[in-house]
Amino acid sequence: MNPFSPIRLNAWREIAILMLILMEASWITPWFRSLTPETYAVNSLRVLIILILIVLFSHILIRIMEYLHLKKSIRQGVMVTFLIFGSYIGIKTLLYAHESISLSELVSRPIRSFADLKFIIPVEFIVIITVLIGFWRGVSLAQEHIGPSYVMGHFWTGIVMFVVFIFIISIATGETAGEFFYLFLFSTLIGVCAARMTVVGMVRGGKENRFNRSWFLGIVLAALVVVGLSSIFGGVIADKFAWIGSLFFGLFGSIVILVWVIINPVISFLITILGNLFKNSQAIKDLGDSFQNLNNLMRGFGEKISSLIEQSGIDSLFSQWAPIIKTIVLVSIIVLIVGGIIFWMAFKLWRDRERRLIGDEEKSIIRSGNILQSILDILLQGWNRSLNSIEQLTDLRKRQRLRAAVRIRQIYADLLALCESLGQPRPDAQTPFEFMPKLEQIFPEFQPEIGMITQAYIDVRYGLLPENKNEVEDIEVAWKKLHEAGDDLIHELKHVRKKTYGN
Amino acid sequence: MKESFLITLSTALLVIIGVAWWWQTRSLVGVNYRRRFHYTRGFSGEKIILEVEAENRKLLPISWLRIQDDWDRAVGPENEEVLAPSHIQDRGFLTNIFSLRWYEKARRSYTLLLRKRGIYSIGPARLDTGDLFGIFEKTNEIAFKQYLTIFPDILPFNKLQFPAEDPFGDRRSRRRLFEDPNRPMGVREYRPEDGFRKVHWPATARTGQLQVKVFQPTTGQVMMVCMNVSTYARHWEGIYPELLEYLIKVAATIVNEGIRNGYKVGLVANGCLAHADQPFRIPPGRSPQQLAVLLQALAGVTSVVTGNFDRFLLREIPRVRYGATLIILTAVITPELASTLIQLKQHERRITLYSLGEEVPPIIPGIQTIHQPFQVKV
Repeated sequence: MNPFSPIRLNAWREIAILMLILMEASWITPWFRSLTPETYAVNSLRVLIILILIVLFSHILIRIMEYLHLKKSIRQGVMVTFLIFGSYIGIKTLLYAHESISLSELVSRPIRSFADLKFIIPVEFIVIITVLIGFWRGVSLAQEHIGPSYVMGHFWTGIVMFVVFIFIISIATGETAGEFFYLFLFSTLIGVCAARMTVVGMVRGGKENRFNRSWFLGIVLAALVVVGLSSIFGGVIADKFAWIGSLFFGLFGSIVILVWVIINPVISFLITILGNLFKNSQAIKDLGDSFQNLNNLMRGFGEKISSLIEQSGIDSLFSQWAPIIKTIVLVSIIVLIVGGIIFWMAFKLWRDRERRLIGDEEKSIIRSGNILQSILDILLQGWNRSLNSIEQLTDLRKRQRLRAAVRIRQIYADLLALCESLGQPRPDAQTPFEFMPKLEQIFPEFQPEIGMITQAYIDVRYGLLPENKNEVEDIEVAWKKLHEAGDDLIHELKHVRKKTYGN
Repeated sequence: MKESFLITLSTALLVIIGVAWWWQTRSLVGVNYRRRFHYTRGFSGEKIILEVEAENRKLLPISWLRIQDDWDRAVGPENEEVLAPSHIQDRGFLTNIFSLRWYEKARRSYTLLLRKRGIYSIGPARLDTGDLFGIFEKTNEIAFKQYLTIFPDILPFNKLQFPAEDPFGDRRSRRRLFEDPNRPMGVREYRPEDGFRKVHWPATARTGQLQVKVFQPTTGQVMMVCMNVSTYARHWEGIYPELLEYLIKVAATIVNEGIRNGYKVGLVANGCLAHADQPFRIPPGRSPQQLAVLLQALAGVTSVVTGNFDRFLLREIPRVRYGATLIILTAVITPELASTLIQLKQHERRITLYSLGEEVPPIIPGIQTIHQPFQVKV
């Protein structure tokens, strides 16, 4: 029954993390492959494994560094090294896997392709970005609280990405996510279960349930059965009720085409302007060609939808019932709008009555017997509120003050970290004021600075924001002094330790 | 292809969500939770073994079942950290997590340490579980409560400084008043004052000398302990917890000694019992359970005072059998109480006044007074 710790090992939590990585990799893999012809040429299993390894390795690396309590500067160095090597390993394993390439060529080729104006986005750039995202994910997973809701949130994200994949990539290339979807479902089920076990075991008190291998195998088996069942049902229903798919496909496809029709003129206008400005640019020409290809694709997609509708017989059905459907749709729209207005007004009336009851000074917007004037008043009030919201958004001064408050909290957190590295951590039960005497013992010459930082932190903690820039600057100066003194103390401690225990 | 994949995706989702939902609706069916205490009563400092048992009486396994039992820290496990914190003061949660297969039972055991006098409720228990994969949750509350009693400590009787010869001031009157002819308890030799109806003819024939039956007395020695729960002259001024605890310990010691000496012991007090709002009265008795009943009542005494002790005595004493010895146990002696005691003495009551107050009690003719002021241990 222990709280979450990034370095403590918990079998269920490790499984949850592993499954989460597998979940994400299983929807990213088809997306990654569909980005360029070069990435499409890479074997999907290879992509999946490389992606998992990147995330997993960075995750383990960050946890090991946390465990070893490495200094910030060392951590940064390790991370940068990992990123550089990771990027090159990613490029080698994903793009140049079948080429025998020297180290110098491996280093120079991506740089050359970056400089090459022939490609707007070189494939090496995509791989590096993927490695970076994978690295970031591994690091963020080490800091996350992995609960069932977290896993479910990522499950729904994955589902959305699969659906979008169908509507964008499948239409363009005919490629489907296929087995990756089932892998995704399987890893979700195991992941949610493991996350639930982790969370349940974190509650303090009593006795926890230890990891049991037979239970884990049972859950794996159950997940396999459920996924198998879902694939069988899915297959059967897809055969029998293909027309439902066509209907949805037609509906969503129409929306995609509609959006394309709206943005198409804007994009073509921009490309024309760019073409006139940079007449000799190959990149702009390529962009224009790509845009033309996309246009053709959308046209083809529209034709596909029409043929699908014809094949499924929906068009004959539609032409037969069209007048009735049209009438119903139009009447429904009118009813919806009128109903919406009535509901909105009733809601406003009710809210104003509530306000009057509690003695709100706001005036009633409804003037007796003048509905038009009332609606105008409502609109005016709405407009004023919107203006206020925009004003609040653009209140730079308040935002600056908020940023300053965050900085003060950061300084106090850094001060506590400094004390911890000096072997004097603040006990959880002590308030900042109670901890002040201890701080003054550690830094006897900086009592005013300690008081200033503590007071500023308390103010910010309880809702007061710094008034001006000088306040934060003073605290920054005080912190700088303490920080320098703290670093000196750390060096002295190290020196004493070396002397005492030798090298 | 794309359309069929879309349908496959939707169907797979529906199947998974459907299975998980159905599982969740059935998850708490046939789930039982029990607490088993080796004892439910004891003295402070004693340890009790607790066994909690969770059972799944159905075919569907439960991958996770969390049971949070509302628990009083005074009767919590030996290791205080085992109880999870609660928003209610002095209470915590005993949390157990189980994974149960079909028709499986799981047990966990704890050693509880009895810490402080009182009657403590255990429960209700909250059960959280869900489908096999943990996608959905279901919660249920088992309202069944159990009670653990910690008796007050019993002090060495000689510490109370009662007179060794005649501790309760009633030795001269020790006699049997009546005998019950339906409850013979032996035979003895005939004496001239015995009537012929009492002669035991078979025993006489066997021994050759006149033998008479001896019957059980219908009235024995009766002692009523009257306890004043107030620790200040005006009970609304508050409570002195240490003094109250000591008062209860003294009462427990007196009733224990009374039972040991063959008295029928009863108890009245102007304080409330735990989970009640009325003063309590335990009639005198000599059953084997009487001591446990008295100690349990003393375990449940709270600091809530229901009224003035003198008025309480005037209301309660007429209900006490004539001839009973009254032990008045108080930490506060007011002039009103003194006059009440004089009034009771006039009705031929045998009274011993045991005072724990700082001030020396007034001398009341005919009443044995013992003054043992309470001293705080430093």
